[in-house]
Amino acid sequence: MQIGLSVNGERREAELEGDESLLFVLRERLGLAGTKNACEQGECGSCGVLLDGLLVNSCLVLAAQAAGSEVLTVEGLAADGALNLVQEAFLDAGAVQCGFCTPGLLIAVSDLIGRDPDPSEQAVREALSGHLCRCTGYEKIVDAALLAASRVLEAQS
Amino acid sequence: MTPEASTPSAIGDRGRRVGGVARVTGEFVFGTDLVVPEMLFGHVVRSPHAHARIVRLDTSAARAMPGVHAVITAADLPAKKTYGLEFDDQPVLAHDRVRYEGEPVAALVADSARHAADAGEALGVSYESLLALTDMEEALRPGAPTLHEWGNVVRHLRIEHGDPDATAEVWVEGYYETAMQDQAPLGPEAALAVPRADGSIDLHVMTQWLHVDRHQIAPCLGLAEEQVRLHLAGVGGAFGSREDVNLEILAGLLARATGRPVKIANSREESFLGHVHRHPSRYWVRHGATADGRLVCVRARALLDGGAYTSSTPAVISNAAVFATGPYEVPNALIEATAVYTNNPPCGAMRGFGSVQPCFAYESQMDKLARALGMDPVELRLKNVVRTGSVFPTGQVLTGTAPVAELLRRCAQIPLPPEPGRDQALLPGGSGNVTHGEGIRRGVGYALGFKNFAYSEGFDDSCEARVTLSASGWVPAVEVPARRSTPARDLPPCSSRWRGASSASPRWCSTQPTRPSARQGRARRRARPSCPRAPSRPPARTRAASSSTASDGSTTSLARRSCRSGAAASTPTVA
Repeated sequence: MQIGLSVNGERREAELEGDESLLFVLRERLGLAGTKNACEQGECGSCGVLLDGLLVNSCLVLAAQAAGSEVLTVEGLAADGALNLVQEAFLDAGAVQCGFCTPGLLIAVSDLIGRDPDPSEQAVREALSGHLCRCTGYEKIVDAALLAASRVLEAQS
Repeated sequence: MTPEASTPSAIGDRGRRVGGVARVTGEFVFGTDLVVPEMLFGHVVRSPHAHARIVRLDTSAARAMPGVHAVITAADLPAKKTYGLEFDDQPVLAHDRVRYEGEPVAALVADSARHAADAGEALGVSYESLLALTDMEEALRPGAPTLHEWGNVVRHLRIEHGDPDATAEVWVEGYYETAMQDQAPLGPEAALAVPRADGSIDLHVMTQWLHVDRHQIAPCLGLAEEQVRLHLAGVGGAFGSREDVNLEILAGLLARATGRPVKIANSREESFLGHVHRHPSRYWVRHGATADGRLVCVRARALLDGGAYTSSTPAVISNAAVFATGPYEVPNALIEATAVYTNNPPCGAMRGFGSVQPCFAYESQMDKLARALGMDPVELRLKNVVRTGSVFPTGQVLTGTAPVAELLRRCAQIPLPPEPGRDQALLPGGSGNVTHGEGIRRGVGYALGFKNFAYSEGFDDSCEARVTLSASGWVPAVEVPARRSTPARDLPPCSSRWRGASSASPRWCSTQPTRPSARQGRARRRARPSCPRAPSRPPARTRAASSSTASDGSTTSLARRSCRSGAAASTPTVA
């Protein structure tokens, strides 16, 4: 079957088999490998994308359900080649080690700041509770999320 | 966009991670992301049994499945049939017998990952189940199934120190078990093999020790080492799990069988089955002390489950023995440590590498001893911790700095954190409503751990960096291997050039024993000042420096110079 969807603002068509996940289509059909496959069972958050503005584990979304939708992946965060404030904060806070969990976390933090511009540490931890990182011990990821939120607030004021 | 800083100049400086930009934009290419034209997809068929004889292995149905290009079993192996880090006892593909659940039995390759997996289901394998040896103590009993022709013992060590029969005023005794653990790096294993027309092969691998992998891979492919070029693919975490060769040999065999590039990527489940784990352990320990809390004697017996094959178990059991008494001065000790084979998954390197299991035992013992003596657990530890000049049970003298007492005192001064309050999310179990505050007791415990900051038992530990003067730039460049997919904009601004790591790179140290930054940084620093700043004539010159540290911490250095453009290498000189 063929589906059409918007990915990072670009209209894309994909020929796919009926039971393929959105994650599979992004990575294998559309060549967008930034979204990661670490568990393929909704446990780790590495495959996090925004689907019509909603944070989802793309491994658990049937690709056919995404037909006609707008998808934001990690590749869509840096506008015109310039890193956005969340990406900058992750680098500045030392929240990027092996980097495998990073794409999903960047999407989740962007989603959090969109909903809650001034999140508490507890709100950050709650928002990121669906993400696994094996390198950092999470502290620097929480730091990065808080730093990103404060910079976004500052930029808007 | 802020340019990435170069290597941090000092401890405490905040430097941005080299390669960080590619990791936040999604451009960084991990092993599982590799794609090349004409690529086929490999799949590994694994044993569902912990111990069984293979009575029938029929590949005809699998070969007939849609999209299948090749199926290989042990019968098709072209050359060496086993591999291993320290001892080559692990079959590339099981022959006749499987010794753990998840052991590779066949590998096949198809035009899509789905077709490959479907064909794997169609492979005709019949097993005759054998009694599985799953308990490490059983492995030592008479009548236990013998897993290898050389028996069930991987290695046994006995360390005697002082008078192991020394008497003490107070004794405490304990038995401690730790379970198997998994590194579970977030990026699953993957390997891409690209065959070349001249019979050689390029292998893109996720590894911690690329140069040593090649020694194991090439003979199994039936190739000379120089015909196997290894390239470091993006590594999504490792924690010890990528010290052993994993999918590389199978990907290489399938690529040679088909003449096409072949990628094998593990799912999470396959990853758990396919890499080594942390050794489960059992410790029986007695601590004897004087009435005022000075350790007199420790007697420890350790047993580690190495699983079905050797991997790095001989080195891990050594650490498990050497560290058995903890970071304490013990004048008399007897340590006996044994590692055995079982039908459990093979165990090997994982963070701590044999220093973690004894820590649980000796620190539990110290608390027990403090209770028996009626002493504060911090006071007891302060009385016994090692200092510069202390002698370990192996006879090794602690020559470096050892501010153990100072660390412990500082930790003891840290006040208890404030009560978390009534927020349900902050209580144990969080919003899972495990507790609403009832049953919670707050307290403080102390534990010390220690680990080797290099390899153990005098294993050679060296690292090279190469300084290159090129005719074009006139700027000395220090080559330090980095990820091959690091884009140009991630390069540090000057002097240091980060090269894609491959088997052609300088032999940089493995990403192991918690010291690559220290070791690579030192090699790099030694290589750099030796490089003239403004050469009067343009020779293309390379200088390599390596630093090595013996297990006792002493350091020797070796600077090697060699010429790149045809001139003969000069004699190595000791700096």
